[in-house]
Amino acid sequence: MTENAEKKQISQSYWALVWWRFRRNRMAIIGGIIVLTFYVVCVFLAEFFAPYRMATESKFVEAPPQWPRFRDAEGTWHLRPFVYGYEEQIDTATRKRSFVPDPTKRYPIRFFAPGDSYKLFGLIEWDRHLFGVHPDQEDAHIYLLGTDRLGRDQLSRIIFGGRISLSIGLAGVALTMFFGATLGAISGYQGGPTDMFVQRAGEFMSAFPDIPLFMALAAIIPDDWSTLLIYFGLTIVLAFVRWPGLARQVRGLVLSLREREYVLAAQSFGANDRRIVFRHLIPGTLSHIIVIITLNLPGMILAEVALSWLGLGIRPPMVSWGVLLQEGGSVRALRFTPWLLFPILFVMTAVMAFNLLGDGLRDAADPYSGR
Amino acid sequence: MAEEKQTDYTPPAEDILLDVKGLRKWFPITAGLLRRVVGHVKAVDDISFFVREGETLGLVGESGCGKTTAGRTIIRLYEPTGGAVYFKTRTQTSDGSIKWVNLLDFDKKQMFPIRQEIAMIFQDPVGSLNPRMTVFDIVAEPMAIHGKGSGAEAEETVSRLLERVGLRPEQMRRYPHEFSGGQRQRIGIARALSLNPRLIICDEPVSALDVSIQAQTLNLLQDLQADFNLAYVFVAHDLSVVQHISDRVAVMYVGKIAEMTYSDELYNNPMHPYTEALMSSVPKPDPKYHSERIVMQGDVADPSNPPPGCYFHPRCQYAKEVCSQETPEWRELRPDHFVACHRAEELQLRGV
Amino acid sequence: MTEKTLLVEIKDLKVEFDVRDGIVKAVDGATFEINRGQTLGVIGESGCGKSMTARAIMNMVPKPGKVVSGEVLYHRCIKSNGSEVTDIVNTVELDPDGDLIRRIRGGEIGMIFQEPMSSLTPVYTSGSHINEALFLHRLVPVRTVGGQMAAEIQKYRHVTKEEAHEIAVDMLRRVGIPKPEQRVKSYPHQLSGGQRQRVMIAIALSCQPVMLIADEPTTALDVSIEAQILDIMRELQETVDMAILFITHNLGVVAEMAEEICVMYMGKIVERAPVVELFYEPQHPYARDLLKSIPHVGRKSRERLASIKGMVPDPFNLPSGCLFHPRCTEYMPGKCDRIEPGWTQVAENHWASCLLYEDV
Repeated sequence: MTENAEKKQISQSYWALVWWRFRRNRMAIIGGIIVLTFYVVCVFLAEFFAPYRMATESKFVEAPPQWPRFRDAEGTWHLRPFVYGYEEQIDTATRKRSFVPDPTKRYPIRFFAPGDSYKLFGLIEWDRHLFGVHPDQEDAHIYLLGTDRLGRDQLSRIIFGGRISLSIGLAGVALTMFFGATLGAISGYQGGPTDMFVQRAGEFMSAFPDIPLFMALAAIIPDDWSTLLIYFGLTIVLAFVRWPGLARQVRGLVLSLREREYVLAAQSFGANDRRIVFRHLIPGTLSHIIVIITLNLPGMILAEVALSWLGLGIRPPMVSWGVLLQEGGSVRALRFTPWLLFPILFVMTAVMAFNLLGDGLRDAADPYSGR
Repeated sequence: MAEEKQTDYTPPAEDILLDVKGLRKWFPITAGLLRRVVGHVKAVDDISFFVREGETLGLVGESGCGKTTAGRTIIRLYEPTGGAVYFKTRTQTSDGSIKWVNLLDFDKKQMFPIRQEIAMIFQDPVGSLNPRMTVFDIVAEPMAIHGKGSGAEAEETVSRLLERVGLRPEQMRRYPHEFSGGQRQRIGIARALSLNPRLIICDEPVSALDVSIQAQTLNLLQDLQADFNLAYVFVAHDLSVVQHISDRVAVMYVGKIAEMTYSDELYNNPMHPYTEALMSSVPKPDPKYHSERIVMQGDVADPSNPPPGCYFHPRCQYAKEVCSQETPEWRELRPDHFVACHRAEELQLRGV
Repeated sequence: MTEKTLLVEIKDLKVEFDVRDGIVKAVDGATFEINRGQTLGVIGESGCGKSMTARAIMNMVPKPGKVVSGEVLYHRCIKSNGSEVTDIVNTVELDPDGDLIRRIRGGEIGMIFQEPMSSLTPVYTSGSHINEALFLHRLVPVRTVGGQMAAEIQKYRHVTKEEAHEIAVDMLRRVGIPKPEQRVKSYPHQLSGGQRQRVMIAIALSCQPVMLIADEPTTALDVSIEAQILDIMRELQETVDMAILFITHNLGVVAEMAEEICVMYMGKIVERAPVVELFYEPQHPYARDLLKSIPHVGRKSRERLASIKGMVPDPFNLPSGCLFHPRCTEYMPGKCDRIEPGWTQVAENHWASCLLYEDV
């Protein structure tokens, strides 16, 4: 390179180049932002974003969503958004109690409102929430997405549920990556009997029908375990079923990388197998692995949702998106309390966002020939 | 864990560094469900040559001749099928005195220290450097593997090496893709030099480079050889490059060496018909050069199914009956001039 | 044929690639002619633009490149009302997917490329990749060789299927493939690299083109096979009176094959001369240095090779004035870094682009 060009150019590592390419893909950035938002809101700062606690019951049972409004019944515009309170109605014929919006009760929405206290990150005591209604007002409440049959705020439960669903997805995928990538790399590098054994084991696992396998494994988790243990158990179950896929792909990558001359060069200097696998082969596959796990994450989330919906995964009182869907997924719910199906929207958005992100990463990390 | 085999070997001369005898590398061909071995690709089939300290031995031949495989088998990147590779090493004794060992007897652990003394340079400037590592990491890797120098010491050594090969030391934090092909080859050379080897196996080091860069790289290799008293086994398919850089040349064909001698001698007085035909086939960069070209008919022989007798006989214009029946012997017909041809004494072959 | 008739005239051809980091001038003002029956060699190293010139002639420049100016005037000889008429066609202006250029490609101007994928990416960029994904004229792995040949022949010559098949067998024989009647039924992967290249030549020649563009046709082949291929090309050229545009970086090959040679550097032609004059009296410093830097079989060995100092410049940071001046042994400060050299005649039929020969 000429002098000037050298001065101009800053050293670009592989990851810097990937980032540069990634940045140009708008959809991928959007996906990434959404994913990040989900994790920040649901996993890390759930207590802050959720107006209520996970299990706070109220008398407003099966109440419809309170939409934020700017314009009241008389037609006046307010700067601060507000929600209408509930009025209880009893259907004379069926004796069914239901709630309808009551324009006479107006609760202005306050931001950084005081509410239930909690410990941020489990350490810092705080009581502010992103939004809420003035606690002094009589019976003030804000259930943006309605309530369930125990009067619990859906939005809060969705947020807390997201904490479980999203983190299980992540943990499951991390475990899969650890198992699958290492096994795949070793299998691909060693070849021979090791390879055959690992591959057959993987194929055997993959050949099992997914759902029955999940169910069987999930059913093994004892009922009386604490919810936390169940959580971990479930993560392991998910990882256990998924590792062959990742292993196979990593093996394929390793098989091609193994023949690269830089691997040969390292061998010629006496590098041992461990060094080659971890220093040369796995870094070469890392970009692919990241793409694969990003695209696998939604599968994990959906698996958890499915399992929990079937009653085999997360069980109440712990809440996840699957649990919420189970509570909301009946014909009766569809008819009378359709807002209980909102979690579906969140699941779909998360899955789509992960897919966009993964596709973008894959395009950015494309065959890097190193020019 | 192989026990220390006593090597009964006396070198034919004082200054010999590497002596390959009867080296074989056969790749099995499997067929069927149970992967039965049905045949072999005899990539390297009984070759013998030696290299002296500080000299360059060229291994030249066309595709499938086994030259690359030979280079890699010597350094045990491929497991040999047979033969012996005697090497004069200093790593086996506590005081660094010389000991002759057979590399093919060594297991992986015993080979480990030897790898400081024999290094390798590869053909592909793109593929031979790990794109995820910085230049520093790449050049320092052999030292890291052998536990020689770390931190500031390593940095200093790498600086020195980069300068010696004509690169700027400040660039050691950069990545391979920021360099041109010729520069990448220099990085590979710097890496090979990092442990002060005595022998470097150069596997087609200039084939992937542009003509003008080839010249620079060849000059560099020659300078380094003079400075560090390096011996090279220079594997290439380009006859003119090989002749230029080698002291002695071995011409390979389908796993065997057809002829081996000093490079001037080879080009002026070849004794094997394949050598003669090969040199005649090379297009000369001289439009006034007119000579009757010897065109070899047919394709290069198949190493998994070579012709009987002398492998070259179907394409040889001097072939007689004996050539299709008996494999020719490897003989020293003139001082330091070896040939494997039945008719070598009688034929008067044309040089370049 | 002593009389020279123009076949293809290239005038001030410019091909540019618009990549993320800027514009790369792959070909920057190339001007030369090819006459009927003549072999013109184009030599240069990677990035000099020789391949792009060939593609531009066929209007096959891959995206994101395009021809930005210049002309390629192809003098077509067509039979009209019993007599022969020459129609001049500017190929770079034709619709790249149109009928006319399709008929010319393969039918009147044949092409052969280097066999495997080469690393001839002409530009050193820190951004995008220039993708030479031209799969025209590659052998399809799933059809027999004979089938593909016959299909090509039928495309350009009005013959029946059986006749096409016979021509295919005949062509295989002429390119030196033994037992052509059997070989015609084999699949591409059953042939060796040399045989495949011979098949490509056979296909290119079976349509009896007036010109053959050979872009590094023997670079990937063994020397012994290369010799055979070059012989075949020369032989066939004599029988059919075909012009050859021979593009290569191999000076030995071009010395054998070409009558005249153009030397290219960074998209420009720096010298043009008959082959003997170029090798024995090169005028441009780049050509001189290039010729001195190659090892010769038979020449005294163990001397240092004269090498060209420095490296090919960054295409986004081209030197001012003469593009070669930073590496030139005859560099004249004040001149070479300020003025771009023109095209000067230094001897009969011998031109160079260098300020040494210009009055400035």
